[in-house]
Amino acid sequence: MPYCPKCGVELEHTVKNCPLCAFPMPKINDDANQPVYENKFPQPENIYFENLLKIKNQVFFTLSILIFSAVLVLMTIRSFFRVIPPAITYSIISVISGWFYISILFGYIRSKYYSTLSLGFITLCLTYGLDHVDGKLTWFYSYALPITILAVLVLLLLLYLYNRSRLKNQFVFVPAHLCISISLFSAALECILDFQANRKIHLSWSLIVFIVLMSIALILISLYYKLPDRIKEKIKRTLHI
Amino acid sequence: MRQHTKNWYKLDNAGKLYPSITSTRVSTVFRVSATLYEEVDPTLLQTALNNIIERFPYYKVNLKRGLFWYYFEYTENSPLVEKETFYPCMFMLYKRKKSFPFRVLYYDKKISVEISHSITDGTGVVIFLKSLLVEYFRLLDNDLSLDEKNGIFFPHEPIDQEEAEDAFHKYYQKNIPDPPKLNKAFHFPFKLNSKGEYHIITGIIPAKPLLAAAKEHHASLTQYLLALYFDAIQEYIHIHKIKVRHPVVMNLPVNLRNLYPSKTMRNFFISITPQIDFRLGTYSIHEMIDYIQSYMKIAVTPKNISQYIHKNVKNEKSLFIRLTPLFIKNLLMPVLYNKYAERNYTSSISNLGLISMPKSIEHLIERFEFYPPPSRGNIIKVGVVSYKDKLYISFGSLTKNTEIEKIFFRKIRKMNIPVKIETNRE
Repeated sequence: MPYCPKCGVELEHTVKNCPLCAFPMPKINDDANQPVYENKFPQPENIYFENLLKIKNQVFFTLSILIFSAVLVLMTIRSFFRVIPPAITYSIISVISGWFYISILFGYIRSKYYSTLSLGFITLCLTYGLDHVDGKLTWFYSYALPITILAVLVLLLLLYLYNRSRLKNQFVFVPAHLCISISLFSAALECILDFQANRKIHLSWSLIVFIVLMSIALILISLYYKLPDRIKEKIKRTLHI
Repeated sequence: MRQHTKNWYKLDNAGKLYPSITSTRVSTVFRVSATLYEEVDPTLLQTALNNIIERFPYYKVNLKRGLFWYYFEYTENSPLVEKETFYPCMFMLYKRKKSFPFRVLYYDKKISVEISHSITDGTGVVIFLKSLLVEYFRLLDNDLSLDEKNGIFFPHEPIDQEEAEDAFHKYYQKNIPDPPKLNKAFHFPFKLNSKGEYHIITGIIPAKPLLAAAKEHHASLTQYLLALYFDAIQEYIHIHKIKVRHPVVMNLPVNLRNLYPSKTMRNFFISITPQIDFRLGTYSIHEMIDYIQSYMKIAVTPKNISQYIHKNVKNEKSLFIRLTPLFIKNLLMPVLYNKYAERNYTSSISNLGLISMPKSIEHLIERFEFYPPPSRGNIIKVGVVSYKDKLYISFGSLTKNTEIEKIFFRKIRKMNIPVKIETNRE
């Protein structure tokens, strides 16, 4: 019987490391005539993912049928009109895009980066479709395209930072980085809106958002990393009662 | 004609809580298993289950939703034995139609019963498993004679109505004060496993030397194991220089059938909560045993226990709670359970005691094991059971960290008592 030299406990023949201290157990005998030892437990499967996928598929299937029925109803109504009302076309485009959004939000695309890119692509298709209902493009290139690309870039940056950051505390990381992203996004958004409207850039409300959210983010991050003793001492000295 | 008089059962006082708090990580499912010397025959096991289940009509049920409470409804369907494939004590989707609140599993030489706490406690499931085993062996060998009953139920014997009673209500006293409230307890700072994973480490220890060690301290086995567990946590806190802000509180379920003359096969236990505050300094094992003994002398008395029964039943009887629709109860219960229960315990240790089988069967069973239900609030729990001359201490854990188990079993090894470790960890 194998024993863990560190814990002193007897172990099963099948274990590679001591279950208590993870000390590697040496393979003592390679003899082919050795009895075959069976594990006391089956190689366990994870019930959670199986059940989750089953439920997710059921819900997605139900939603797909509902969306398909809605599109069918809208198409039927559309065929009755000689001059097609734009509201029906808007609805059809939105419902179909909704199905694509749901399929991404349900996690059918594994990679978060590809999911984000797909979300951006669907948004572009949706906005293009909505703008193109009357046969000409008025706001797609000037507003929808740059704003969507901007949002996707900010989301990708957020994901990249999340994966690379040393900040593992989600209660600090998520709000701090959301604040940074929203402040950057609002500044860029105002640039786009201002440029399209007045052909010049003059930042106003986004500056307020930027200052407030950046301050919150910096406070959160500095609290997490803790202030250096020198600064702590200085604050203590200045603010002592 | 069937013996069961009702075709539906209210959930008992303790059981009422569990369906509402069940989640992926809080399965409220625990396991008692028996390992035989021969490989299990699944067909025979299924026949044994079919034969025995009618003797337990209060388990042959499906969970249904009422407007205000869940209830169990007797079902004509029979449960099917399944081959064990998943991690132990995983959540059951027993709120679904035609699902039983328990499962009978087999793997190699092992027969396991995993059961939701909403239906019964450890005592109930031990009697169920023992009865199932006896029926299985009877089918295997027709000449099997049983010299003693040993708390075993036989398929065609009459059912005592008391078996299905809610004993909490029977022994409820109206005008007595509530027990003192608990405060937040110390919790292990370990990272949780992925959902759906539950790790078990079982230490197999000869009972005699451990009993002798307990006797040396004039303590019972449960008291001694509890002291060792406290000591292991104390050592962990010291080694890792953990800043302790709350006392270490243990949840110790007490089988109330030993205090009240009840034959119920449903839940009938109360958790008492011995606690040691390590902020006060280092405790020696003698100090801990002294404390536990004195605490249990005071806590495990009908007068003290009646306060806990009073509190639980009073809450259930409250008109406001009764009139709250079930979907609101389902929303609120997990939060309240965390605030008033799980948050106030560090861990739990549950001893099912010595399981005895009739002499003619004893040699056919190698061992019994008991795995506690996983819980997000108490990520490590301990289940203890003894059979013949061995003690089986199982740590059920929702974390990969094995520091507590390591310190605990090394302590026993340092007493020169042999320990064999088995695990489902890879």
